[in-house]
Amino acid sequence: MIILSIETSCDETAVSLIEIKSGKNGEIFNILSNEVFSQIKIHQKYGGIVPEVAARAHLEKIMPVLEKALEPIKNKWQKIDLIAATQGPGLITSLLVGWQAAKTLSWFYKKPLVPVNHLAGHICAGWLNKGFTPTLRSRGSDRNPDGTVGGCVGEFKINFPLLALIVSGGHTELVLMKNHNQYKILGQTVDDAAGECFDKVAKILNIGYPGGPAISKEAAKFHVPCSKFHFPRPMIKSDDLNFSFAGLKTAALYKWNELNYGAQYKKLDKKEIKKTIHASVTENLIPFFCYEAQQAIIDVLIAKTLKAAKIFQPRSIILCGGVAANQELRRQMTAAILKNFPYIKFIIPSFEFCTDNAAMIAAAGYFKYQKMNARQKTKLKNNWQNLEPDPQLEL
Amino acid sequence: MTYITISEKQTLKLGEKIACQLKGGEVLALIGELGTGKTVITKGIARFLGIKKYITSPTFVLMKLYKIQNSKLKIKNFLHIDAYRLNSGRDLLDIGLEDWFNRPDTVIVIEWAERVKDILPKKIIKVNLKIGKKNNERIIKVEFRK
Repeated sequence: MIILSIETSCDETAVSLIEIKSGKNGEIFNILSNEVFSQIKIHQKYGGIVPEVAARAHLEKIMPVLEKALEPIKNKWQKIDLIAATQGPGLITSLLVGWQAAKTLSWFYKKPLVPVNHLAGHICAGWLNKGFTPTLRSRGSDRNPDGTVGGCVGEFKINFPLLALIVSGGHTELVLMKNHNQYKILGQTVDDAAGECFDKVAKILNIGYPGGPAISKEAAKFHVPCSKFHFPRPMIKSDDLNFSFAGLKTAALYKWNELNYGAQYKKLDKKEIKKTIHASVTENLIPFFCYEAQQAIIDVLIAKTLKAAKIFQPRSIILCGGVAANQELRRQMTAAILKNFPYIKFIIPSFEFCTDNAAMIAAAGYFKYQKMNARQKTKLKNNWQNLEPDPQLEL
Repeated sequence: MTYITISEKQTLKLGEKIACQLKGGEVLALIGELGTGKTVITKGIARFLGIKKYITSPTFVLMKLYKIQNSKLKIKNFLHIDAYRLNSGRDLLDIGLEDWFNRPDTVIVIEWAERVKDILPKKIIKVNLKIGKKNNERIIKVEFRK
């Protein structure tokens, strides 16, 4: 079966073509094409995604990206069995472009259209691991034989129940899956998402957008934990599985002002603050500051994941979403799970499937389609008429 | 009216206090730097209106809508907006904010409202937040503009 998938929930225009075959250990996902156009450069000067700018860029890119993705089947539409597209959650102006394209194609070529939840897509990225040849890795090492971090520990088959930690710019969620399409949210952020915290701390330090890569780059310059100061690990000891990152950002802001302007900063006005800023302090401080902020976020993410694993005893754990591209998080989470739960399979999608992409949407669409009965499947043909994108779609 | 709160809990309570005066159709403009408690005030308002869902940051999607299921209240929708990343109000019009202004069944809270001054209606409730001199102290000024 061949699936065409479209994803435009945020600032990536992505179209993918995937062939699915049945194999010994379940499905084999053969990725024929996985085209992504990232708008990061366009949004960099604004320090974040601007809805109208994003929508225009999606509109410009959707057709070229689609054409490129269709190259492997030379535009032969009869080969495509199904169209899968992101229905939500996301930025409404962005979602509309991809969804409209999917609807139009579904109507014109008379193909069934499966609406996919973006978060389900992130989890299902686990099945795409390393495309169709997952790297096996010996236990105890946190690196693959090729030196990359990620991939899968043990044989490549994801067993249920599956515990998923989704971390991205807009989400921080712990989800338990007893089977395909059965999502139970165990915990989530009560305020800011982890990726958002990265962005905001980066903004305080003025080191660029997107914040995640900027912070991990600075943090990498610093290797020894320092006893000068520590950020709080918000809610790390709370009884539930929820996260909170807003307080961490505030603590970082306080500390940053105090370090740069002394304890008196609250009494100074903005002009005086600019005068007293100490350039040399700032330069040496940024790597350490980033290290500590990143570590605080990672500590909380790991603690809550381990806690959830202890309570729900899953057979597999997956770390996914854009923030899962963070090298330190990948390394430390792998080490923590190997140490505490060596018998649980741990999966991190490779980088290209962590950040937003359409291949993951195809995988999620496929599993959704598989669970449908004949009547539900025939109804998919009419989805283009009555389904609208939903910016707040829930799992 | 100026309030001084000395803890997050008190700021939350203040949010509830503001909320009990709402009748529907109001726009609250929250103005203050990072970490001054805008989201905490919003949470207080949402709690008073009986919203049980977590009020998570809408920075990413810009706008979050919460439905209110309380037959005693006239207010049916709670719209939480975060203009932190925006330079002008046009972006909010692009995602359809206009449809929600002047609806008697809707309360709108806009964080970082100073960034979208150009589209704010004349009648707003202005909430100014500042960090006080002591730790965790916040100075919060609430102005009802009619």
